[in-house]
Amino acid sequence: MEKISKELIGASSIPIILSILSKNESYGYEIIQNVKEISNGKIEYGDGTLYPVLHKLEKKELIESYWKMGESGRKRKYYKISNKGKKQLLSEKENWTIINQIISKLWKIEPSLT
Amino acid sequence: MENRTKFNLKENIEIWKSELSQNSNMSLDNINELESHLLDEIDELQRLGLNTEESLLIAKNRIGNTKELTAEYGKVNKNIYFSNKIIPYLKGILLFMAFITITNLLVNLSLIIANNVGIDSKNLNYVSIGILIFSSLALSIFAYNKYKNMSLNSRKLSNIPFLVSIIVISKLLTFFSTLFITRSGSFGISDFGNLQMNLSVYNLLFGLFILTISFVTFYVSKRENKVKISE
Repeated sequence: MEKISKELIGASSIPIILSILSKNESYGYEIIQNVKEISNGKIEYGDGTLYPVLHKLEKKELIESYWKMGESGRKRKYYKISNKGKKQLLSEKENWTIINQIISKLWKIEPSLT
Repeated sequence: MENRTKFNLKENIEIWKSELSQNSNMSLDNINELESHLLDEIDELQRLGLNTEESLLIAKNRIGNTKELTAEYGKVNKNIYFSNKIIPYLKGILLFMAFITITNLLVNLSLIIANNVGIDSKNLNYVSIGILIFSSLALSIFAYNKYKNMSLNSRKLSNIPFLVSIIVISKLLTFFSTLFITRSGSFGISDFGNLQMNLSVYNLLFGLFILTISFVTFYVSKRENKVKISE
């Protein structure tokens, strides 16, 4: 299967990032690797393009950041989801479920997103 | 036989960071975050068997060049983006203001010195023109030599706090020297007027020089299509 279009990657970046951070705090490099792994390589965020998205989410107060010494002894900027971010994630889930249902109806297949 | 100096990763990363800070719209925090990412990427590439130099090169390419990063970060760092755009214009205006203020001060000083030395009105006129021409030439030769020897620190010269200090000090000195000239009564009003006239002619010539340089630069760059002029 071909890689997903840039537009769709861009549109889905907020729910994906918020979902990852809702499970655990993380840093840029790890988020990129996580997304790549979960999507089986179909979604690959550009190294330099993820950070502006994270900063945008931080400005919207959906996530919080702080510098922390990682396990490897290297200082990294970690991100974690905020309460506002958790609410936003719920809303994103509802929206994407609706979209999934509509598309599924149109294509006459059963919705599989829970 | 291959003779290469040992590759210094830390030094090369510092150079990369310095280039980013000078040419992009990223804050120090953004650059430190990208450095941490770069190091993670280098570790991964080294695990795959690449040497340090190759890993750095590939990691830098993956992160993107300054132009790409500037475009991406410009979406969130609007304040830094705006500052980076406006600062060169501000520096140009401040440089011009500094020049005008200093020449004004020089005219006042030449009148005070001439009065103390006892130079007559006719010679004072020549002295003031001489001072303006001499100071312009001296400044041009100094800047040219510095440029030729690659030691012209334009960054230091166009440093905003430095320029603002020069303007404030020169303005204050000009104000007090004008006050001294007008209040002391020992200076001829026609001498003062003549010197101001010389200064006006000098400023006019300087203005024409700047306009000519601007036109020539504009048309040369347009012809060579090296600079895209965006309105």
